[in-house]
Amino acid sequence: MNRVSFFEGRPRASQLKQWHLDMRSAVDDLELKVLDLIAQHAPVPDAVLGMTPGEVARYFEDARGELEAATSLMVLAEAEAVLRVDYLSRVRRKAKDPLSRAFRELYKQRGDRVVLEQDLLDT
Amino acid sequence: MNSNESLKTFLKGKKQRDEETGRAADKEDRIRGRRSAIAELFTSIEGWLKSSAEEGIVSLERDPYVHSDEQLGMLTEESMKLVVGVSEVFFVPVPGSIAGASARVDMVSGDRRLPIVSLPGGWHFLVRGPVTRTEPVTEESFGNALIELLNE
Repeated sequence: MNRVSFFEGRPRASQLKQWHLDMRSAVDDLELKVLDLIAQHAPVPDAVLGMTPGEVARYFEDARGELEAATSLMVLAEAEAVLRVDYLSRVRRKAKDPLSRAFRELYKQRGDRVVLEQDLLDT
Repeated sequence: MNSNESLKTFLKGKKQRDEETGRAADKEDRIRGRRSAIAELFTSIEGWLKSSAEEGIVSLERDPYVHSDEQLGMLTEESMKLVVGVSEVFFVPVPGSIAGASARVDMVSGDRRLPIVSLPGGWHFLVRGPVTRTEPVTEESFGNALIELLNE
């Protein structure tokens, strides 16, 4: 059986939340900076060059949407990692509770190659 | 002071403040700058298409284009229409502040739109991709853009 790595090197949910807040704040700040540059008729980042205020607003709305989607995927990956670690630790600990027994049965059939939705969540 | 006089005082103060801060002169400068840049672009395009127009292959027509700008108010500028066969290409000034540019004219045909922006170095096509880049509007780049816009 592979050694179980308990959370090392992976971002925790609280870190993901902070990362999301930092990125969201950075996008909001950049939008304000760009709007300020437009008002001053000053050079702007290439990505928004030539855009009208409406197009700039849509550009940053899209950026926030992409950030939401990326964060959701990272949270999902983190949740799956937690469940996999729990699965392997229950298999190793040989506890007598029904879930641990079910996981050991599952491990005999599928080993490490369990599928989140089909195997872990259904069990 | 009656309401008419107080309104007049307010308007007088507003006019005076705008004149003192240079906003009124700045607005006129920007309107003149936009008109002259757009006229220069259209004149260049007419020059590049002169022989095709003389042979009746294309027709070019300038029209007054009235639109409202948040900062500059109601503007009367020019738009231009190029007709070739049954296809039309419109050159339409875009109202509102343009990020990093003093003016923008969109080349529009059907649902295709190619923005052209006025930068300190002259008119440039905006080519949007993974990285946005600019291409100076020259006879050659204009020809390529027109072919791309009209190709079905």
